[in-house]
Amino acid sequence: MIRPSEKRSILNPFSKLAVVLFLGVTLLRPLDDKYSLFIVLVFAVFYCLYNMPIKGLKTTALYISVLLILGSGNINELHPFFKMFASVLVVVKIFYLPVMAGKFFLLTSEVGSIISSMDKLKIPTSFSIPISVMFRFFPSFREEHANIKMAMKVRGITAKKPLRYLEYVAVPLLILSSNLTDDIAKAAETKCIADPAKKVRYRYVGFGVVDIFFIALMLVVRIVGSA
Amino acid sequence: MEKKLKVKDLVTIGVFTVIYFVGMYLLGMIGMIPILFLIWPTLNGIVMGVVVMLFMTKVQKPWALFIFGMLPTVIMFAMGHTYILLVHTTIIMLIAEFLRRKDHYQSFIGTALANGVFSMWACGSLLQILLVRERYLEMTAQMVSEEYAQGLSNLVTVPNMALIYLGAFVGGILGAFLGRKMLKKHFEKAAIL
Repeated sequence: MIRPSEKRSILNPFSKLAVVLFLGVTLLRPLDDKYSLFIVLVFAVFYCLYNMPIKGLKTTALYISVLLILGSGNINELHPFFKMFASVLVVVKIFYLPVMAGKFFLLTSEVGSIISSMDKLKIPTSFSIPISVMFRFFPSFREEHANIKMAMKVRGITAKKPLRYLEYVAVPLLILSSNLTDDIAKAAETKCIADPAKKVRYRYVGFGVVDIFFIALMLVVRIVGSA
Repeated sequence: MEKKLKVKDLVTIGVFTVIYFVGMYLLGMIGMIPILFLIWPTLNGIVMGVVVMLFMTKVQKPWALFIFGMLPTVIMFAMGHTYILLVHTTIIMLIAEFLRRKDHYQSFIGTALANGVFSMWACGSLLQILLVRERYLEMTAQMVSEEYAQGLSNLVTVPNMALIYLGAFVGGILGAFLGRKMLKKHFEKAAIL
């Protein structure tokens, strides 16, 4: 039997998703600034574990600067134009934690491990097949779009004429995609996607101590820190 | 007619979700200007309604629309939206699915109504703001100014939200008519359906 790859990811994709869910609650029941900063720092540490220290640094720096600007309190004296800008910062602060967690999930999870963990959680195939197809189709969609855009540019149809552009780019794209659907379905069928047998995946996804630690830490901070 | 979703239908769902999501995201760019964000659900219903119509004509089976509608929300959820959106979309999609089921996935009227309801899911992201309204206004009043917060609170209200829902529904119906026209003009000719 072929062994699945020994290379493991640090966190299970679904524990990242679970954390996105907890942090979504911060919209209704806000966290104290200290605790939310702590959460941002934990994420920065995990970014470092995933070999993306710069990303972690950026996330932290952005959050601290938002806190500092809003905390300085002299926004009232600003010109109305800058006040508009400040209100955008308020929105940024409210949505920061869940959006950050979501970005972390997207940047650090491989497609293979997401699909593999969907198997493990026994998500019905009527959901897991479309999701895998989405990952497969996205790059070819971009490619086809670029090709059609080029072809239409030659014929003088550019984004400057939005209505014509929409029709003459969207329609070929939809037709192409419909044809691609048939191809993908055939390819998937030859790889026995509908076969109920147990699949061997390239990536192994487990649920380890780090996952428990990560989720527990977030839950504790969430409960302790609710203002 | 086979009534169970086969692999081909599931692949269709995946492919159309990508198209829908990309289109929706590009249209959402108008939300950069805050006021325009309020007409986004309507616009989304009109333009992306064409895609949904094509999808509904291609896959006339139970639960296809439900899965198709849930997936963009799942992506948005993974990108940091809240569970509010998830619950909201589930309810909307169940209604749309029910409307399609009632006329056995065939007639135009049923499909158009389903499309109208379907496009209402986009209101969910605005609903989130409505639910955190008190806190948002309080913070804005503190940080920016009382008058600005007052202006916002006049804008983000329950009646206005109802108007946005109505706009999305009307947009979806218009999208269905536009979709039918497009289907006749292009897709039937190309033997896609």
